[in-house]
Amino acid sequence: MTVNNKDVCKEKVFNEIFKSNAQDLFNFLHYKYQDEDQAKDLVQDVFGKLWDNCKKVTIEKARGYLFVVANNAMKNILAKKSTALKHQAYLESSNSSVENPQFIMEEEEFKDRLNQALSALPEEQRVTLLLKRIEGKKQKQIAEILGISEKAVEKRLQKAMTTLRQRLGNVL
Amino acid sequence: MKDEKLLSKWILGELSPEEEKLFKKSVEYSQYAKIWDALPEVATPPQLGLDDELKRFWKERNARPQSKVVRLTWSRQLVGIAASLLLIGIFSYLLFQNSFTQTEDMVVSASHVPIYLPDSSTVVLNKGSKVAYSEEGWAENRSVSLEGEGFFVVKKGSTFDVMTTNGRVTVLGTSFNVKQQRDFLRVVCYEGRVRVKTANHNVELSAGKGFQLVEESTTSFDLSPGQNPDWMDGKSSFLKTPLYVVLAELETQYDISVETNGVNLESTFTGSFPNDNLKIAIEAISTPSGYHFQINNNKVLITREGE
Repeated sequence: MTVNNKDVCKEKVFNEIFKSNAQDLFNFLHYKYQDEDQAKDLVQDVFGKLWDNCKKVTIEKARGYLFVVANNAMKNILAKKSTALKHQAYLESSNSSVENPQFIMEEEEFKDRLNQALSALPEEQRVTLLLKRIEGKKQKQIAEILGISEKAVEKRLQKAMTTLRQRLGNVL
Repeated sequence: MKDEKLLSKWILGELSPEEEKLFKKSVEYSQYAKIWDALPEVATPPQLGLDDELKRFWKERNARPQSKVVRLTWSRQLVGIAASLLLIGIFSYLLFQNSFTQTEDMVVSASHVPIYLPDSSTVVLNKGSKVAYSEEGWAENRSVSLEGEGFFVVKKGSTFDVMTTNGRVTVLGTSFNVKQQRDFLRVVCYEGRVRVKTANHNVELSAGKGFQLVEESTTSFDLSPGQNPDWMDGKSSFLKTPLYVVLAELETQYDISVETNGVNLESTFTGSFPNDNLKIAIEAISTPSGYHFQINNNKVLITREGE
């Protein structure tokens, strides 16, 4: 293999990296922010950062680099607002069903509520849980992606599930 | 405690057959299982249109070619000669006029994403701004040149200087915002302390304090509590700031050009405008002073009433 084929600054190489990592990165950001447009924009930003630093990042390190940047990425105010709105909607809806204990949830409504409860989880718990459940990642892989210990991964997983169960208690 | 252990082992698929039996007998098991089973349907992200996203990437990149990192090829040679580098450093500091010095081998202008400095402090740049620093010579020359506006979050225990054409900001603490535009300089300290040194002033700011310099007159102010500068939340805010600075920011944020007729550009503006709605932004600037405006494509004309 020649050096050129591994140069991240080569458009062809960069495009390959984009194609093989963008979906995973998008998923990760989607777990993080629960917002499709936001996640898409951040994917663009994160790859922009890789392009800006293509001379410093080797092809082997590119994937790790992308996830580190994604993990530190910031969301803008709109995302904060929409999440805040979701939380509020969640609180309101949970109040209303506390008032009506007989209320029977349809399947769709259960999923709705699960979705809301998921959005209301602390970001790091949600990301950890979904990396495990949706991506099927191993404890060790999650620890590497998030830059935390395996013990912390276990703690977050357990906390996330406990919280979801408590929040959904009346519809389970 | 025991239950929690069982739960996390179940999540990780590490239960022994006996433990699994025990766990499945618990009241909570069916509830956990119901959540667990429903998660993929609720939380699986949509498929990303890879080709479209890649196309968009290059389109947006090519629309702003300046965001690519420029590494000056001769920098390595310079860094090799420590003595001359130091001399140039001192020389350019004395000159102070051209804030982008020759010792800097990194120039970055990507906005709204954290840029990591060699000591792992970060700076987030506002649109149309850039920083330059020496990556290889960081140990000798711990300084960052800034044109425009940036929010710095400094790693604990780290120190460096932020150089602008209007003055030098020395880091004594953890997070601060610097905005420079022509002869305008504004520094706001959000955490810790920073020192601002200009040709005629030497001020130390503690958290929650701001300092503003317009030509030679200075203003000190307190800021209302909040962790981030407004521009990071999609707003541009000003306090008693000359209109030419405000309009220049408007031009940068919207990629437009602003012309004025009969408008006093030295008069000051206090207020803010959104960075994602041009009409509201111009209204926010012109209405308080009773100015009229017209928008034609990428040009904005602001005139005095009756003219």
